[in-house]
Amino acid sequence: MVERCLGCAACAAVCPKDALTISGGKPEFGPECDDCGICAKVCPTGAIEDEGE
Amino acid sequence: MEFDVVVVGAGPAGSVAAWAAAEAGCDVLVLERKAEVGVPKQCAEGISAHGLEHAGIEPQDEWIATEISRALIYAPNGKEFEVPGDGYVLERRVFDKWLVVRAVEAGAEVKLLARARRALVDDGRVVGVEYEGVDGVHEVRARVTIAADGIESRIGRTAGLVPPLKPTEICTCAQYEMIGVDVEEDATHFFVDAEFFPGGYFWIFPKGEGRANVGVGIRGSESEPGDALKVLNRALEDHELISEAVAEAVPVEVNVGGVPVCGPVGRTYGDGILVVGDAARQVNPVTGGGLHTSLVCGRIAGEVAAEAIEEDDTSATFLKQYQDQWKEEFGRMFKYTLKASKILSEMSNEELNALAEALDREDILRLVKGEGVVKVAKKVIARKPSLLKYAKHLMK
Ligand SMILES: Cc1cc2nc3c(=O)[nH]c(=O)nc-3n(C[C@H](O)[C@H](O)[C@H](O)COP(=O)(O)OP(=O)(O)OC[C@H]3O[C@@H](n4cnc5c(N)ncnc54)[C@H](O)[C@@H]3O)c2cc1C
Ligand code: SF4
Ligand code: SF4
Repeated sequence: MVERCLGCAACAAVCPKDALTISGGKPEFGPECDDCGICAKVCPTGAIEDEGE
Repeated sequence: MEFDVVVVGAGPAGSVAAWAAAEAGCDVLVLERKAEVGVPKQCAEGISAHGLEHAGIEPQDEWIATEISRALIYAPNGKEFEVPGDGYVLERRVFDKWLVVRAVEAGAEVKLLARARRALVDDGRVVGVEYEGVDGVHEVRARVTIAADGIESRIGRTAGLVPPLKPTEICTCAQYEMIGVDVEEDATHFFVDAEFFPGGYFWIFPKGEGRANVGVGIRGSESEPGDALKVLNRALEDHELISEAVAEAVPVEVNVGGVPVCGPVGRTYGDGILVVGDAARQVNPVTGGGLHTSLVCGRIAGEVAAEAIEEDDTSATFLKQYQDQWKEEFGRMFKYTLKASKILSEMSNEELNALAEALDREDILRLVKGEGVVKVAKKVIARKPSLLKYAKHLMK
C-alpha cells in the first residue's frame, strides 16, 4: 500500500476529542479517540481509511 | 528559555507576525514543526495585487510565477463570467521562505523540527508553550504567544480559543501541479458545479508556460474518506471544460489540505496570547483564500504584541486591540462572504445556473469582496424570483 498521508492536518482540525495530532507528518491517535470517523471523512487522500483496515 | 514573543508556525501569518514584532525590537522565537518552511505547499497560490499591497509587501520576481489580470468563473451550464482584477500566482515554497528570512533579518530566531504540543497556561494566562524538538521536550516561556499554527491550531485549542471544525466548516482539498495545461494564462479559472464539487469549487491557477495548480475543494460534510482526490481525478476525466484543458497535462506534484470556511473564531486573543491566520479561521469562506488575510492579520498581531511588551501589559484587555484592528480591516468582508458562502453551498445546479443568469460580473466581484451585497440581492430577486429565499438571507 502506498503511503497516502501527506501531513496536511485536516483530520486533526475536525477531531472533536482532540485525540489526533500530526507527528512526523502522520496522524497519531490518542486514547481519547472514540472511532467517530469524522477525521477519515475529511481526509483528502483516504489515508485514515487505510489505518482502520 | 525565555522570549518576549514566541510564534508557533512559520506559515505566512507566523512569519509576518514574527517579522513585525522583531522589527519593533522584540526578542522573538519561531517554532516550526516541518523540516522546510513552505514545503510541502498546501495552496493554489493565488493572491490579489490589492492583498499584497494591503499587507505592505512589495512583489518580488523570485516568488511570482505569473501575473493575472482577471478571473474566469464557469457556471454549471458553462456560462462564463469574466471578473477583472490584477493578481498573482505565487511560488509559495519561495514566498514562505522569503517571509521567514525577513523575520530572521529583523532579528527573530527560528527552530525547525520543533512541534509545539500545548500552550502553557498559568492561572488562566498563557505563558508560553511546550514543544518537542530534535533533542527532546522543552518549555519556552514568552510574554506573548502567537498561535499561527494553521488549520490544526494545537496551541489555539489548548489555550481554549479555537474549537474543532465541524465537517460543514471545512473544505477538503486535493490538487495537482501539472505541466502541459491548456488555459488562458492571464486568468485564474473557477468551475462551480453543485453535483461535481458539492460545497466547493474546482480551480485552475496558471503558473506560466503550461504549468498550473489544478485542484478541487469540497465541503467536509459532503465528503467520504479520500473523496477530494477521487473527485479531482474524476473531474480531470469527465468534466467537459476541465478534461479539455488537461487533455495533454501531466501531474508533477500532489498537494492536499483543509480550508476553514466558517469565518473567524469569536475570540482571537486572551491573556498572553493571539491567534492568527488559518488558526483563527481568518479565511474568505467564498474563495477559500487565506493569504491576504493571514498576511495583514499577522502584521497586526506582531505589532500589537510588540506594543503590549513595550507598555508592559500583555493582558487580554490590552491584546484585544489586535481583534479590533483586524475587524476594522476585514469585519465586513467576513460578515457578507460568510452568508454568501452558506447560500452558494446550498444551491442546486439549476439554482446556480439561474443565479448566473441574474448576475453580471460587477455583482460577482461585489459578492466575493462582500461589498454592496444587499444591492446584489435585490437585483437577483427582481430578475429571478425563484431565488428569493436565498437573496433574503443575504439581506439579513
Ligand atoms: C488546497 C489549498 C489551496 C489554497 N489556495 C489558496 C489560494 O490560492 N489563495 C489563498 O489566498 N489561499 C489559499 N489557501 C489557503 C492558504 O493556503 C492559507 O490560508 C494560508 O496558508 C494560511 O497561512 P497560515 O500562516 O495561517 O497557516 P499555514 O500556511 O498553514 O502555516 C502554519 C504553519 O504552522 C506549522 N505548525 C502547525 N502546527 C504546529 C505546531 N504544533 N508546532 C510547530 N509548527 C506548527 C505548520 O507546519 C505550518 O508551517 C489554500 C489552501 C489549501 C489547503
Ligand atoms: S491522514 Fe489525511 S487528513 Fe490527516 S494529515 Fe494525513 S492526509 Fe491529511
Ligand atoms: S475517529 Fe473521531 S475521535 Fe477518533 S481521532 Fe478521528 S475524529 Fe478524533
